[in-house]
Formats: sequence, structure tokens, C-alpha cells
Amino acid sequence: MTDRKQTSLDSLYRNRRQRHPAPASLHQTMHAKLSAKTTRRPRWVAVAPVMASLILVFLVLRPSLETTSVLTQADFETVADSSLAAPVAPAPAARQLSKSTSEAPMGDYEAFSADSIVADEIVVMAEPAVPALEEQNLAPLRPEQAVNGLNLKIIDSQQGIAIDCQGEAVMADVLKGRPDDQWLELTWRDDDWKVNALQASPCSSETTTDADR
Amino acid sequence: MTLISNLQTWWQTRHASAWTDWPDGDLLEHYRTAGSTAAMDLLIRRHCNALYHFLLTLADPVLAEDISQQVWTGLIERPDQYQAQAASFRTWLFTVGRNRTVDELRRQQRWQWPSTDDSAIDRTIDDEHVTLTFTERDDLNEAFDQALTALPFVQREAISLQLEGFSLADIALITHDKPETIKSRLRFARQQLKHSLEENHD
Repeated sequence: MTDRKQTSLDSLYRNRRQRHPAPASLHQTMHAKLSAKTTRRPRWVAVAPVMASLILVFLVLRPSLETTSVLTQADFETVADSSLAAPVAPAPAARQLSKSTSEAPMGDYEAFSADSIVADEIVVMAEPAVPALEEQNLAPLRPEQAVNGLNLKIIDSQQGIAIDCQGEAVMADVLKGRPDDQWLELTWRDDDWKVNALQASPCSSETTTDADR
Repeated sequence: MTLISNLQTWWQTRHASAWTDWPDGDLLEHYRTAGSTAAMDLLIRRHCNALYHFLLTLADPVLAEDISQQVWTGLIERPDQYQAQAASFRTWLFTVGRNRTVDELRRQQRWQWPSTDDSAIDRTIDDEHVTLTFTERDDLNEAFDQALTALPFVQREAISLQLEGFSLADIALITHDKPETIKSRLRFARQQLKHSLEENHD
């Protein structure tokens, strides 16, 4: 009699279960359901990364915003103090600067600052006009510009810088050493500069500056 | 969202290996509270084949797949429907699957409450704790399939659940019957299987 291998009922059942696994389609369906469940997360799960990003951006930008704000405030206070001590006279430079400031391309923040300035404060904003002019690459005044006479106001006697009635700045050696704020009539005649000091501004529009209003 | 989902899946999969020792209830709780799809995925992988095979033994492949999908989908959508105090997760899972199958068979008018012919049970033989063994042969698996599916529904489900590893109390819970009734059904099923497999061999 041959000794044949025995199989238990449990073993037969396990074999049957292995021969009849759940179909792949069932597993796929379950995975799809789970994936759909993942995408349908509670709102806070989706909102949290967005909020975190916004907070991060705010924290990054806040120091630069504060710095700008502090600088603006400091500038204003400094100017205000100096204006209290010595009132700034209305000047074409003020109008020129305010004009160039409002026309220059600027960001929203700068635009807000410029727009928020009232007329009287335009004079205050004229304070940085001198450094701005210094930074300009001013061409020397050419004689042909003054053949018919050119009315100029000295704004920097040391460097010989003056502005005309249109607010355009010019530079010439002949203007050096003249008193600041002095109006001159400069004429090129007989191959030489003729300088005639004026008592008042010859510019008709100059009589009504922004600061005068 | 796809990137976030992928990262989330990667993160959860990374931890999934640590969950292999977790009990079913803990995995389900983790899925319910933390939304861990990897925990639910592990739960499905643990029991999907066993549940499907049990339902297949009770009905047919189409119904088994359909009911399995219903059970798992219901659990994915509403994980709180399982109450750990009532029974173990596996017992609860098989109970839900079994009940749905019976309901569907009734709806399809395929359900017949079988009357057990108690006279056929040889009560002198107490083989409840005896391991049934059969001599291996080429057609043994096929013969077992035929013998199992030939059993009346209630005996078939009782012996299937026992071979799945459920205790007598669990089987009674799943089938809503008394333990003594289950014991009778098991005895009948074992005798029938023994008789069928040995008879076929002879």
C-alpha cells in the first residue's frame, strides 16, 4: 500500500480562496474611490497651504514695507522741521520737481505717496531738488541758447547751476559766484557773456507758484 | 492638488509599512480621524480577498463583487458605521457582507430558507474537533468546490466562516443564530463534505 499525502479541509479551503481572489476590477474601483476621497479633503486641508503661503509672503514683505514707511516718515519729519525753522520760498524748482515726480513712472506705493501730497507740501518736496539736480548730467550752457537773452535763476552758485522760466536747469561758469535765488538775464553778445541782474522774476507764470496759491 | 495628493500618498505609503502590525480597528480609526487612505488601503488588502471569497461561496461572482464593492465603498464613505464595541472589525465586515447578500438574494427571489434535514446528521459522531483529512488526488480541489457549493446555504456559510477562522460565537453573531444551531450546521457540513469527497474518491 502506497503512503499518499493527506490534505486537510482547511488546506482545501485556503487553496480555493487562492484560486478565487477578488477581481482586479474590484481593487481598481476601491483605489479609485480612495483617490477620490483624497481629493475631496476637508476644506481646511486645501486652505491651509494657501494660508501658510500668504503668511510667509507677508512675513517676508513686512520688513521692507516697514523700512519704506519709516524712511518716508523720517523724511517728512526732517523736512517739516527744517521748513518750520526756515520757510522754503516758492521756487520754480519745486514746481519742476513736483511735475517730474508725478510724471515719472512709479509703483503703486510711490504713486500713493505722490498723490497724497497737497499743494503746500510740494514746496517741502522741493528740498531734495538740489541733490537731484546734482545727479543730472547737466550740459554746459551753449552761447546760441542765450543770443536773444536768457532769464535764469541761480540755484547753485558754487557749481554755476540755474534754471530758466520753464524750470529747465543749465550750467555755466559764468553763473558761478552769483547769489543764490538771484534772477539774471544772460545774453551772448560779441563773443562774451553779458549778465544783467534782475530785481524780480521775469517769468510771467512764475508769479503764481504752487506754494503761492 | 495633484502634486499635494501625490505627496500625501507618498508620505502615507512611507508610513504604511509601520502599520502592518496595527489591529484593524486602529487602522480604521486612523483613517476616520486622520483621513489616512493608506490605512484604509491596508485594511482593504487584508480582508478584500477573504470577504469576496466568502460572498462568492454564498452566491456567485457577480453578486460577490457587487456586494464587496458596496461594503467597502460604504466603509470608505462612512467609516464611523463600524462600532468597535459590538464586534471585531472582521466580524462586522463579514456580517455586513452576509446581510447584504441575503437581502440581494431575497430581492432577486433566489433566496430559499433551506430546511435542514436533521435526521441526516449522525449525532453519534462528534467530529467537531477532529481535523478532516483527505488523500490528495488531482481532482480534489474541484471535488471540494463542488461539495462546498452543494451544501445548503446555512451550512455552507457556517463551514465557510469556520474555515475563515471565526469562532463559534462570531459565526453565531454573523448569522444571527444561536451557537447550538451553528454547531449543528457545522457538524452537518463536515459530514457532508467528508462523505462527498470520500465517496467521489471511491
